[in-house]
Amino acid sequence: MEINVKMKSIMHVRAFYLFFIISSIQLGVGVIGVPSILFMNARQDAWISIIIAFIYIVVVLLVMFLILNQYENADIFGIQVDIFGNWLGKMLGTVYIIYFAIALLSILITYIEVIKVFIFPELNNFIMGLLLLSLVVYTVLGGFRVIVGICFIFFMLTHWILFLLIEPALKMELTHFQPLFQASFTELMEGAKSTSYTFTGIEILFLVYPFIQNKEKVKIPVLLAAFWTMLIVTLTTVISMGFFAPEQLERREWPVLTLFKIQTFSFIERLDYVVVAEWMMIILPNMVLLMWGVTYGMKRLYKVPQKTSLYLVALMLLIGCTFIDQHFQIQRVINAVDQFGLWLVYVYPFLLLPLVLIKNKRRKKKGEGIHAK
Amino acid sequence: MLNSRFIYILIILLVLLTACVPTRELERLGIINTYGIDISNSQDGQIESTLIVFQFDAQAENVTKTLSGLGYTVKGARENANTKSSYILSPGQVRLMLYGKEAAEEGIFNYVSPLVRDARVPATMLLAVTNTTAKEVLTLGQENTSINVGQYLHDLIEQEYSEDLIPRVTLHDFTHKLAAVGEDPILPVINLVEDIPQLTSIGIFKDDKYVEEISIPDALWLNLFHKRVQSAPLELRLTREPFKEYIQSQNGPQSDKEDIHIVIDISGSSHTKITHTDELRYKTDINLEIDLREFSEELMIEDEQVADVLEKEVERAIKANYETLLEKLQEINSDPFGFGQIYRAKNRNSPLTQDKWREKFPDISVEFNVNVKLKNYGTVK
Amino acid sequence: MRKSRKKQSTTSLFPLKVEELKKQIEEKFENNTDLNITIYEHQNKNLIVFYISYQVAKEKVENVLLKPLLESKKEWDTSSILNEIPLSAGETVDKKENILKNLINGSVIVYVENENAAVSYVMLNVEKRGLEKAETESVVIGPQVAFTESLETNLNIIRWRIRSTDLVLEKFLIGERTPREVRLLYLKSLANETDVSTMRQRLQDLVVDEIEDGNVLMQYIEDSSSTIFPQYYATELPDRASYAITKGRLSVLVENSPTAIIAPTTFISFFESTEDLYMRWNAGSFLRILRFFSIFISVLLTPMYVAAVTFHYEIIPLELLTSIGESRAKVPFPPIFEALLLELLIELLREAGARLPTKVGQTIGIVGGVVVGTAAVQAGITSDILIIFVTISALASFTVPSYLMGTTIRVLRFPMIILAGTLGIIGIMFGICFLFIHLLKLTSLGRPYLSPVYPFQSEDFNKTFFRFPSTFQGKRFVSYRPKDLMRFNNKTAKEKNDIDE
Repeated sequence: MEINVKMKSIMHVRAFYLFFIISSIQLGVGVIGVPSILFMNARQDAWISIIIAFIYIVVVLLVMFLILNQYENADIFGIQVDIFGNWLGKMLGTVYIIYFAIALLSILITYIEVIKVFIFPELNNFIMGLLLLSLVVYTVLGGFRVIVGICFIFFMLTHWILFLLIEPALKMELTHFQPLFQASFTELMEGAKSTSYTFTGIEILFLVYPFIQNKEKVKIPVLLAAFWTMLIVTLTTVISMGFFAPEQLERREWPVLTLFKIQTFSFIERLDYVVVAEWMMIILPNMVLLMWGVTYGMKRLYKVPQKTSLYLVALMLLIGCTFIDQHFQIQRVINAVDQFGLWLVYVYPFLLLPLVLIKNKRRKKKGEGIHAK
Repeated sequence: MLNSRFIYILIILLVLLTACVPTRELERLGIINTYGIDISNSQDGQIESTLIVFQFDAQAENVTKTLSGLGYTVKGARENANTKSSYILSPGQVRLMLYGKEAAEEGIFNYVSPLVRDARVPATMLLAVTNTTAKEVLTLGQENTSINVGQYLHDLIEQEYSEDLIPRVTLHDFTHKLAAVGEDPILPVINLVEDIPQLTSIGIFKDDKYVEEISIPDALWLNLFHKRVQSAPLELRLTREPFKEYIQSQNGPQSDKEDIHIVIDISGSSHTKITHTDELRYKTDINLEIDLREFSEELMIEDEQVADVLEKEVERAIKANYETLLEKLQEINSDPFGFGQIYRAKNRNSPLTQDKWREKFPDISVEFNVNVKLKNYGTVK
Repeated sequence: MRKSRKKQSTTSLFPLKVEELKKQIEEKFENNTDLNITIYEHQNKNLIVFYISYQVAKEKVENVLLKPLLESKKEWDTSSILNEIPLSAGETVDKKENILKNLINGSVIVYVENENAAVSYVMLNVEKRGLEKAETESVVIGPQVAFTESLETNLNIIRWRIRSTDLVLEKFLIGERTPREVRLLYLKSLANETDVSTMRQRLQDLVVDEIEDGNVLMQYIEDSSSTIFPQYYATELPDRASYAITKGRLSVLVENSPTAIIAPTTFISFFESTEDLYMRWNAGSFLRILRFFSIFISVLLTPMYVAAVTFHYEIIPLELLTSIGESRAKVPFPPIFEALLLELLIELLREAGARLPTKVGQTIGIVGGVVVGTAAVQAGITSDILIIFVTISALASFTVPSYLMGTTIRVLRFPMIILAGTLGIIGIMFGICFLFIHLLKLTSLGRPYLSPVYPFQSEDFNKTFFRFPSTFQGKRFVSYRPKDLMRFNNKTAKEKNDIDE
């Protein structure tokens, strides 16, 4: 297996699209529920937890850059094979693929549940799964450029939703945030940890890095994307905390969606319906990127044609989402992804970094320098 | 590109779609506009719900219809009412929820929480209490006003709110205040006056129980406490004494009346802070700008002095109003002002619970510091 | 559709007797009375002159060719004819295929007995209509003239608009059975080389028996044939074509077709009208934004109604709810069926209006629109509010300058209505997502169809979504990657003065 990825220049995208890739994959179903989870852990100081999480993510991102910079044009699959050898490296690569697939499943079933609770209680999981997955398959068939395009365009088409938050923001009670700094350090850390599901997605950087045209400009868009996600999560959390009484917020399943219920216009009411539908545009880039990660990984590791794995994984997900339709089952899947992601996304890069550095140093000594920069 | 395979998939999808979600066409629905909830006196604690429903029948002249049903839950009572209608009763457009006096006094939490649980019910609906049963208000009102009484009441409350006279009373506000520690909700009270429903007073709740009512002008003080008020009309009674020399009247200054009445538009806001946490002492600064609209007697506003006197008298009157209102509320131990919220926000030691606050609330003392500025008085000096 | 070039006989037909030639030609044109063959005896030599009578300008043949030819006392041979007859477009032909080809294309052929080659003069006489106003893309201000079926006239118009030696008019003959002349127009110093060679390649590689029209050729050379979206702009306005060419794009003209194909084309450019340019920038911007707004109305208004009435009564404001409900109560059909019926009615009216003569068409429009519409509401077949929505969305679709794109948008409504009627607002969102993904995947001549949105080119927004004053228009479209981006220097244009200077 090649460690560095060789590709035609036509497949490259400009670095600034990374902003949209990263923020698209981070913002998804997590953000609609995170305020109440955060609030349960860190109470009115939840916003501090978000900032802690953000700082941690920046560190993770810097570590990821450091790892990627040791190679010429490699992705995580190549790096792992280089470090751990063919057998173990491929196994670790498979772990990533499985993680992507389960994360994709969790998004799919959560969104279907949201639709069922808010709009169509009678909706058939199979139909909705088929619709969403057909869109995903159709997009992934278009290749990486189209996937980036989806991230970009849907990012632009969905952020008007933020304007709908003005109305609830005006109805905030500021006393809900006081007294400040009440949460203990462990509570804040628990809070930061509870955002992990919402903030996951930065691991896609390990995959898309070889596709970037101007690699020297990679850092700023990625960090900005993480900042943007942090901003939106903070915004929704703060508005939810101000809008709901503390005791209410604890018991809400998806507080962010409920925020939109009070917004009305003279020609349309109940903007929560529109927002739930619009959320499809938010989760699609998310699902598309994950699906691409799965198929691309399969191709890199096992040389399975992307089309084959695409149809196969879509079929498996369709079966999965048809049968996982109870709330607590869905929660279990989300928790599994959460735990899985915590180790894979937030801890693993720190373990990988020293290994990569050592390997690189040794290689330089030997004077090989084939893969080294 | 869009290949033929994909088109086949789409066609199959569309065929599948046609049978997947049951339709709810508008004309097959009975769209509930107003809900009235009472405790039924005939049977053991059953709920009697009275519904004003839009149902669209090509033959019928009037689209609104009144239905009622019994049940142990809100939804159960609705299902029961549905047996009397050929339309599917749907709660997605409920605009007003009326609670009968008896139900409200026993606590309405159980009737409110299902509304929150069902995502299809709007959060912007208004809640209100009736001084008789909700059924009576709705049925009699419907007969006597010959319009959709639910919508009429909704617009009535909405209009008072838009004039800044009463605080907002949507479902969200009610549940918010109900859940928040250190604040009690209020709801408008609808009463039948000569069989025509009217907004007569504001009901004070202790937790979810209706305990007392205050007058509508008093509601303005509550409103002013919470938010910025924009030119809300207000009638005030002032003592006549300080104005004596400025009053120009046919009977001369020696009138035997003790009071005069003025109508002013007030705009302004208030800010409350806790001065002594342990002694539960508060200070509320209320800054108002008033426009003089009417005076029960002819007042000559020749120079600033008159304005000063007027401002001072208005300040005193407002302060007195606030103090009596607070006293009354402390007596019944209900805190719609939300002093508890302020206490909780400043109290770092232990989390406040509703019970703890109930012990403390009667002991609080508030210094109302009213500051009034006369802006305009119309075209006559 | 690759082709192997047809084999041509290499042997010369000549020399031979004039009678023999006559016989051979007549054999080829059996039962064709229009072939005019005359044998003259001149200075003891036999001359044969033949042409198809309606393909040539007869007067010219008599006066310019036959008169000098027969009145002269000279003994003619091929080279002396070429040299001394006062005509410029003469050429020698010696193969039978070429003779026949020239004959059909309006040449007069002169042959002197026993010479090695015949002389052919183009004396083409093409019947054509005069220049007229544009019908399908009518404009209020700006040039009104439209292309005609005559390629020569069209080239003349374009040449006259772009008086530059840079203008290239590459010639192709496409069609195996009945070949037709196709011209590829571009500016040498501007047009992107890749685009030119792609287009050239596509035209050269095209093997069909004939191309019926420019619109047909467009379908043969487009990127994706299964999509509903047109990928090239077909215009009948010379100013539009020349605007595209001078901005570095390509244009293809086809003989006997009044449409010019413009390539590459983006989705957004279908909503640009040349009129926006001739207007003040603010008014032009307004109109352009209005057109984008109208696509959304056109595609989404009726589906939103269907979704709201079928599934989401919650989102309708109360005042509307009662009036929609009351008018719906009389309608016996489900909303999806009602909407499809009305949309179908509008499409029928449009189609009938287009097929009928102009005067009758107008009458049909009024009868259909007013009478049937009112009657349908009174009979309780449709609700009056839906009639308003359907009419608005039909009107909105007609604001699109390109007729092809307008049709596409109208057709898109039908699947959207079906989606809305089966899955409500979720169905609509599915449709919108699908459309965006689909548009992202499309290309026009290999260039992304959604440019400048994606790939993101903020510099082009000024020329696509809205327009700024001409001082800001110093660059050509980045999306089309012209060789030279600058039109004029922005810096000198932007110089500003202080107050009172």
